[in-house]
Amino acid sequence: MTVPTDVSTVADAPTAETAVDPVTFEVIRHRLLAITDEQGATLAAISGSPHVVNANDFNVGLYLPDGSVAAMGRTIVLHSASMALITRHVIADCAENPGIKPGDMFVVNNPWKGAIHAQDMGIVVPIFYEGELLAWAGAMCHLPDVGGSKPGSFCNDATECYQEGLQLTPTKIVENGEIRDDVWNLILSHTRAASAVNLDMRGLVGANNTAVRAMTQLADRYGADTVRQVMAGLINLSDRRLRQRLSSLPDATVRSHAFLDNDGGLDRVYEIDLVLTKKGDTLTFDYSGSSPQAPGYINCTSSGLMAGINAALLPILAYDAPWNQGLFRAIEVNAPEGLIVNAKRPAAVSGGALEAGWLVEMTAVEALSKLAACSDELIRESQAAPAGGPDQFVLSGTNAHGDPFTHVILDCLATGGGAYAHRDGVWTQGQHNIERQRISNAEDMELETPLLYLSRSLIVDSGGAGERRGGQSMGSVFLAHGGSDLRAVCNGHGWEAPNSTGIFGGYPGTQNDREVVSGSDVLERMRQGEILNDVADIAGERPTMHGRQGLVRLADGDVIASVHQSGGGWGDPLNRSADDLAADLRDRAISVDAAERLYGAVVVNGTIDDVATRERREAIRGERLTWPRATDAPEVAVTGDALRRGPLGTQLSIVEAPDGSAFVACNCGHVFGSVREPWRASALERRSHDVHEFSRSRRLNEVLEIREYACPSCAVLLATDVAGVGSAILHDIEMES
Amino acid sequence: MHSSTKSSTPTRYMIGTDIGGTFTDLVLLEAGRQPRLFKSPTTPHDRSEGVLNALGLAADAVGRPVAEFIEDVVYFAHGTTAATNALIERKGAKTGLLTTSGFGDTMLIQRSMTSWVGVGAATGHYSIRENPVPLVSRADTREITERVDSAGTALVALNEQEVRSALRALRAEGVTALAVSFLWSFLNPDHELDVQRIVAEEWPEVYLTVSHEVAPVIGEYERTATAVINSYLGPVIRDYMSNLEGRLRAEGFVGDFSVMDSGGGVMRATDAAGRSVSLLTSGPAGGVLATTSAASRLGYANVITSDMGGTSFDVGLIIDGEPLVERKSEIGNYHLSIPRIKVTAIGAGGGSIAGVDEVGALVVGPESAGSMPGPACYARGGTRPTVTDADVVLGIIDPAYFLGGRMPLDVDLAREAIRAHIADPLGMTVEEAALGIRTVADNQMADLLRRVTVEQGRDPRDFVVFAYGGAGPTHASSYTSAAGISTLVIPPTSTVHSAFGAVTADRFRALQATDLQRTPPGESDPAAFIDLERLNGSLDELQAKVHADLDENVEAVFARSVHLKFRRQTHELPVALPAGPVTLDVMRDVVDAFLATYERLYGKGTAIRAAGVEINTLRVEGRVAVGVATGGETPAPSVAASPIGSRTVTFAGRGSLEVPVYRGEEVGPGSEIAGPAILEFAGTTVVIEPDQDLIVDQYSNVIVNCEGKK
Repeated sequence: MTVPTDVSTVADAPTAETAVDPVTFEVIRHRLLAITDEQGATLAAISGSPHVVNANDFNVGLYLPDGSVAAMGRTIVLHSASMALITRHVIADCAENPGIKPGDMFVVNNPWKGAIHAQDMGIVVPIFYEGELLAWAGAMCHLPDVGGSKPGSFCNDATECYQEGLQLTPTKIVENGEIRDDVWNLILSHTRAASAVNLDMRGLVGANNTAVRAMTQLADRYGADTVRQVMAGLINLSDRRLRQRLSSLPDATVRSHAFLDNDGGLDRVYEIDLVLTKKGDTLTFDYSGSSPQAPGYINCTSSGLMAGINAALLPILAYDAPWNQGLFRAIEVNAPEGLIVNAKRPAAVSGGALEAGWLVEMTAVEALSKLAACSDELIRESQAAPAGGPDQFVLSGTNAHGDPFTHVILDCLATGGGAYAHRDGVWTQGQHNIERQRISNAEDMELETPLLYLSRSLIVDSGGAGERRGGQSMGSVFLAHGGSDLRAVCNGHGWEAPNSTGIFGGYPGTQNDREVVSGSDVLERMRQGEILNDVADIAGERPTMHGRQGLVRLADGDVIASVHQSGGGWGDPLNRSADDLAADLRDRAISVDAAERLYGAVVVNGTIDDVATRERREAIRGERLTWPRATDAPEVAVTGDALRRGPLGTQLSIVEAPDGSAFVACNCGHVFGSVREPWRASALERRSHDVHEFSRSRRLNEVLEIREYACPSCAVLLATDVAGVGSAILHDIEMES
Repeated sequence: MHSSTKSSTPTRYMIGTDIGGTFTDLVLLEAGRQPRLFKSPTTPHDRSEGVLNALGLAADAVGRPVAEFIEDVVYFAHGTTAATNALIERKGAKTGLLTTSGFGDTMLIQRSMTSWVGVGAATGHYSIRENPVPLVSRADTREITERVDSAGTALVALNEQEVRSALRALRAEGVTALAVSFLWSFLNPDHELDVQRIVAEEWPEVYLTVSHEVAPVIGEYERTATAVINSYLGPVIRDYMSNLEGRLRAEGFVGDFSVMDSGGGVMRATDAAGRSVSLLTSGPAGGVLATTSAASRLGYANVITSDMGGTSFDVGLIIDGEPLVERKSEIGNYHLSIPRIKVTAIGAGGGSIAGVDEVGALVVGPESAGSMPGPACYARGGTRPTVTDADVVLGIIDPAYFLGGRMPLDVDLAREAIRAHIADPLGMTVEEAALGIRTVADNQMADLLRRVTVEQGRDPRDFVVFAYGGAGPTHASSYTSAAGISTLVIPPTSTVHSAFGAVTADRFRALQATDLQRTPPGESDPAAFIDLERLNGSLDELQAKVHADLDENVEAVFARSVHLKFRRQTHELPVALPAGPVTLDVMRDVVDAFLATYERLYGKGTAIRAAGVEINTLRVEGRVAVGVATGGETPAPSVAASPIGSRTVTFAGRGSLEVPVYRGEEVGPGSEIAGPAILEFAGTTVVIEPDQDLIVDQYSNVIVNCEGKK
């Protein structure tokens, strides 16, 4: 028995052109999408779980007989590829034995069989019509717990998948229309949250029943062939739309990397490395330069890899195309097994979606954004990195009423978005891979947990500096109040490595940060009529925190405060206008300190001094002109009039010499060199290990540094890179000519 | 309501008006007569002008001068988009906000929904998402030192000095409206009450909303948003209402004046300034209310209301005779925590533009030609084909009798638009293309009818459809049958249904409040763990407030309900309470009813009694019947209506048929007509397809059997 575990060999959907008339096509297309809405509504109705109803952490869809996604609900973008993989594994593993028959459903939550992590339980159903397979339908959702070493099944101490709870390979769970109690009970016996899991799984089965009923009615009315043809046509529509968009972009190789700053056990930095090649109407994502799989739980499987790629691709290049298999046909993925982004058994992978998988998304967002920035038409879709990954916070203990509780604190999701060329990043946009995100009200949190908020606010200086600023994240300062035996479990990357990187000279957004104050004076000060909103003002003992802290015990009156990664900036911060800076200061988006330190402003009595700011910025530019050139690459001069071919971000362009050769040039007229070579080689360079020169953060792992590149003529900042110490200069956008 | 003192004439008129984006609708009721309907263009510079113009039309129709006519108007009920427009266009008052220390960004963060709420289907297109323009600037948001915890205990006393200096600063900034929203104020309102007192001393003229009064429910973001929006709109609505009432009084109006409340009725116009937030989207609510009373008269318990206008298709639900009400709802990028009639809209209307996409599918909407330039057949410069153009080409709409002949349409422009953009690219005839546009649009609307019912755990086939709005009756027989629903009702007031809803709705006040009670898990009799004294106390207090808002009217009828949910689950269900105090037996019945409803909606086995039950929100509604003259109940002599002519109409799968055309107003009660047929009314066209048939009931409702004989 062999199955397609290598993501690059996933088969395509049929490509036959639709013969259905254009009216029937549209009526059925709309109906198919409506059916996915009805599947989602059924799942949400039965489940009632906050994960499903509030966080939209589920996915539903309709698939061709071979498993290709034809239509899916607009929920968490990460799950967009999962269901096709799950369905194909079901076909591969079950077709012969135990067989796939009318009235069957199959359950899967194995990360090597399509699930992103084991908490994502998928159930798929073959829809037979007049004895023939019409389509598949499926539904999956994030279960609160599937066992393993930690409640919630993010097993941060795991070193093998065997410690990470139940991981079902394709298993028949409904047979001849009847739920198999043996399988059902097996699942419930492996979870700490049996009653909730029971409802979630009933919801999945219910959603599938809805789909079977609706698809059968549709086939009754229009015929099975017509329905299948429309499903295939929908895939073609998306395929064509993405390929048209890709064709409008220049051929290029784009490189991006991200750093994962430890794995729970080992304090070492892992690298996720992407080489994106766009040729004609195809894209190849090559992750083979990434680190080997890690001993800890931060790895992702090929499902997580595909999820990260899709979460980047769909909003940037496929925002107006129906999300389905057609968007994956133009794409090839290269990542051998055994890497941190395509781990093989028995690697621990329960954190993968939030760790290596997340940084797959960050690198793909950056590379696709740089590609889109090579087109006047698509530069609008290009963005700096969004929030680079959450610092998870799970609180358990006993509440004021004496009841034990476990609560996942989702404040870490309310993060800022990356900056765009045309606007600042959106504050509290929510995670890039969650299209419509909600967090709870503070009052609901205080009701559910023994926490009292001292503040819940947009974090000053959290958005990455730039001509366009990154969006601010929300931060919370909590006081432990009224419970007992409180245990916080906190884990995150982005602690010693900025993951929300800026683009085209923009600076990174803030990194994750967390402070705990034991034995604080907060309650005492409250009795005196004072509320301390800022953790810096709170007195008490401050234990040293680590990114992967694991357990923190909180006593009544202790304070825990967190700051979350926020969107990166776009363009040279010195180019941010005085008006924008004045608004930033007025709205408390940035501090006076940041205005001076990062933006080169001069602030007098809280207001920007325009003249002094201009002078100071000139001085900073003058200082940049004293930086050394990055390499001794020769100066290049273009003879004859160069014609602009297209943009490369907002400061650089690609220009074409009369002989047809293409060069990278600054807006000021300075020519860097051929588009085949890294323009950084002849730019002015400065390397720093002090991350606070670039953001509000202060921690940078010793193996990392920050490199700035400026134009030798006009001194504008063109790139701010996070790089490994001693690594080669980045050649981020390469073209043949 | 009290009767007019005027006695020289027996004529008593009641008027309902609704100001829409394009037209100001007016319905005139008079005892023993059919409602009379009027439309006049909306006058955005001063909307009261359009109302007076419509009044002029009504006076003309009864053949009396306006001054004389208006004296006999005993009741004037009004629905308006003024509040919605002011919110969307950011034309509200400069508003300040006082909130708990540490929470000044609550209205910016919006529970992380800022940037996608109100964006509609395009939320996946991240580059176009933005934070909304704040209703209150950060500078006008002042954090106040005070704190109450989840038990209602004041941990930190209110710093009154801080409040006073904030008020002085805001006043100096030019703020004219103020909202106050502190954490847990619904549980312990003392600090908000203290601020209210200080404001009365320091700044009595400022428009003030305190959150525990307007939305005493848990959830600081929605409660704050409700308070802020109420203050933001308050001065605008105060001016609007006093202007309109002033104009009416100046013309000689001496009757009662009410305004629509989107919660489910009308309020006194003088109350509107204080409850401006209740005016938001009251137009669609009026349509649902008008349908509710009509449906109950006809004995339909479960109804889907459908309102198709020029740009949008609005759908509401009536379940077991009650309009579906939302506890929280979205409006213009924000959320409200007041009870409102739920209406779901998609961009599908007569003005929806049709086109061909790159795979050669015929797509319709959501882009709309609006009223400018409008459909191609309006001859206002629009060249892209719309749904209305298709109706004209197919012969469904008579180009010479659009809006009763007041606005002739150009069929050639419609044909040309469809030919150029649809027929030629797809290699179809113009008629085939027009039919395609209609089919696609009607099926989209049918999909929405299905979706809103499925979301409530219901089967659309258990519902009757009511259709209104200018384009509703023209498409309803088709979208109703596509949704698998058999009965369609087109009320005689379909073109002015919101105005009709305003004048027929009860005087209404609803209040909801959070008074949280939870029963422990694992208990078989959760009701035994509810503190009934506290529950009854809270309900009585709410009811007393509602009654006070209804002027202690002795005829007030109250409906009380509790919202229940299982602990750790998200679905809440309202359960109606019987009159009188809640005893243990009553509470047991309530819990049983909750469990039964839960399982009926979400499936057998979904109720987890052992999880424990939470009482979350209490709601009390009070209503006083306005006692309108609902004319037209008397069956007219049944005369078989005869067609005024016929025309060729193209139907899906049936080709072109010669179809009899009736003047709708002449088809009296008792008439029965077999399809295909067209009924032309002054403001709309009803079409029924071959195999469908209709009857007109004693209230002049057109009732269509959509099932057909297929």
